[in-house]
Amino acid sequence: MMKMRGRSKVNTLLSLVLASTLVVSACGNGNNNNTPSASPSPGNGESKPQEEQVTIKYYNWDNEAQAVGTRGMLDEFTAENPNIKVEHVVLVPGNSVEMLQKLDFLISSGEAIDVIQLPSLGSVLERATRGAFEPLNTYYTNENLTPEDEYFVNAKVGEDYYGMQFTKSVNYVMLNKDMLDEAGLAVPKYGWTWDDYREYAKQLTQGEGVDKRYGSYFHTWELYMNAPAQTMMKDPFLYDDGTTILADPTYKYFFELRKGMEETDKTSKPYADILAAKLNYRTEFFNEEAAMILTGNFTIPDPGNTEQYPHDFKTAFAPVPVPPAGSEPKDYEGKYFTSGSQIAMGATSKHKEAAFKLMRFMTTADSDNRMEFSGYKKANNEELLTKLIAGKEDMYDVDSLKYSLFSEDIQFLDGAQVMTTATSELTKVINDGFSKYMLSNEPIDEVQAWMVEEATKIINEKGVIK
Amino acid sequence: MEAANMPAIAEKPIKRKFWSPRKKEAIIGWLFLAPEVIGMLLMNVFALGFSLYLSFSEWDLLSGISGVKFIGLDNYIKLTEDPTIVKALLNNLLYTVLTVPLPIALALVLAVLLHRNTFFKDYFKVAFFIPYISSIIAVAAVWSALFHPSLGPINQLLMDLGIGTPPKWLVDPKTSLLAVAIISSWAALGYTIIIYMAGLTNISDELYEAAEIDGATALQKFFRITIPMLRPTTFFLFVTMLIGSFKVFDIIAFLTQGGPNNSSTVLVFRIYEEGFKYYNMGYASAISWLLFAVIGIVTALTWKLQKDDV
Repeated sequence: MMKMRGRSKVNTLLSLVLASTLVVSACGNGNNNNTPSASPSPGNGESKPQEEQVTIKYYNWDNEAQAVGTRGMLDEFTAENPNIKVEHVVLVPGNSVEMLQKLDFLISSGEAIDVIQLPSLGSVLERATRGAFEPLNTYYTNENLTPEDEYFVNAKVGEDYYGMQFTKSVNYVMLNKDMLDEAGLAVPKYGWTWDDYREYAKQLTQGEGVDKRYGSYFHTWELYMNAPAQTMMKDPFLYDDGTTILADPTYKYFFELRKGMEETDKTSKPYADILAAKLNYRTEFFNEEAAMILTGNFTIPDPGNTEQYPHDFKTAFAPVPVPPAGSEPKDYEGKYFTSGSQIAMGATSKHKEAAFKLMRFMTTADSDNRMEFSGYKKANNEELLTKLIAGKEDMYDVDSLKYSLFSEDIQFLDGAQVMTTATSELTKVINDGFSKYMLSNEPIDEVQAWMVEEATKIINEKGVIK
Repeated sequence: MEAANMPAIAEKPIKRKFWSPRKKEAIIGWLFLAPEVIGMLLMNVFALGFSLYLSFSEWDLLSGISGVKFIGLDNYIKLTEDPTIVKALLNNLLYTVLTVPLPIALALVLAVLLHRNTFFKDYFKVAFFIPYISSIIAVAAVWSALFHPSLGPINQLLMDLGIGTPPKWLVDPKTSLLAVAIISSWAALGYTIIIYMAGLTNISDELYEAAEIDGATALQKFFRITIPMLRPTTFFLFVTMLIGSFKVFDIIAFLTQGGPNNSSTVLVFRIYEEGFKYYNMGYASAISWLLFAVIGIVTALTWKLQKDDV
């Protein structure tokens, strides 16, 4: 009896849930149906009276702190355009890789996507060539804009523009200033080579065993498998003629540098340890496990963020080391690669005019809520830097920070002429090649030949975007 | 209708209702089954058919249904030329060998020991079972700390024992699959033991008593009574664990991502990689059907073996 009664209670509960879901979803539909016929928004001098009230969605992968900034900017946008409400959708907090997967499912399910932030140029092109995004050409023409005058990097397939550059990435090396002073080393300037970096690492390494402090930390990303290719070449996968760059001399040089630092010098934490422990690269540096780390301008707020990364040393900055003579990449110009996240419009968006307005606002607005360097050519990033470190200047070696970001010595490469959509496959080839060399001790020349062969196969199969 | 028009031959005109009780019952039965059957048709049969179709096509998921392009047997030809598929298949077999027969044998011994009067019997029962009810991800996280190449307790111990360069376990291309197999066997041991203990309680004590009277030793009893009487249990465990081991995915995705350098990749992980990392849905479907064929063959073989035996 008791059991029966329990069962029927469950049933009642379930049917209640079902009923309420129906009611709620019915309400949802009702709202949707009403939106288009909504009356013009209440009197506002600036907006056209006939304009409809629309709600668009803005997708990205903000973590909690970033979401506050984004919300701030979206509110500023709505204040300027009272007819456009923006819903902020965080697909996967703080993880751009999983965010892309979720986004792709939304796109393939036919969901109307308005505005999306994507982590890289490649991720825009990959989807644009599959018809997921809206070309922006007509919108640019309507506003008399030339994309090349507006952004450093434009996502372009043939003649069609698909993305606006949102943030601007600049790579640099963070150094523990206190340790540098202790060892009597100067903060390096542009032109220091990876050989110099190795020398610095030797002098900054101290101790043994669990308490060992390494001179350098290399994370698991491809950036750290061949830093010159990823920071001083136009595209990390292809030469301008569409062939793979895995044949580049920098690969041999940097793979050997990594192994030399790890096994001979013992100045860098072993790759196997880093892979096994799933370490966090920020804490490696701020916990003083390592004295130097190659990273980028997205970490500018971190030395000042002593709550999240408790530490009491000063952080200095240096431009990314250049490859030494004889190991330069093909077509070497001595300039740095710059890219950044992009903002694109979904092909399925129902409010494209409003979406374009939002995209322009997000990329160009001079806002106090902006947290990263803007990819807009007319933006004042020096002012932003001042804001970012305001009140915490004593944690930074401000001169070297400004030098590494804005000095005349730091020049940037033009955008790549040729791109690939097979970035995930090619990344795996780099990863596997690096594992073969570092973990299985296969000879470098064989590994490189294997990488070139695999990459060429993939590129031939998937084609390139010009 | 027809019945009414037909000349009545021998039958007395019984009033035949369309809704005979039998039919009524059948229809009511089908109605009750309908949600399940319709659900199965939609969710399983349709999905199966679609994936079969996809395996002969090229599709990148993003371009929608209209982007499905029929390419014939190309995906299956690619399968035969892809060295990572061969590697994944071999890894699957090796993983099965490591995670099915050995743990079953170990579990049988432990179950027999636990079934007889042991000290702290209840404690051991719980201790062996806890890994099984823990989340596999939590288990894997703890083990990956134990397996840490330079600071982990396992390698510390090996180094203290005088082994200069112990394996790097999960990040060593030579041992990564072994390390994964150790972790998953350990986690599944509790379940196997419990099933065996249930089987043991079904063996009548009379058999053992009779054997004892005849002067059988403990070992003889184990080999002549326990193992034969547990044959159905062993077979059940063997088949379910065999199929399970071919479908391994979560622990590999979490611990090694199939790496380093494909050393621990398996078919299901390759399906995930091709389908959801590279968006080669057609090729991923073809691998799925390969996996289906492999599991089908292995299961058929075990059934046949079992039948021949009995």
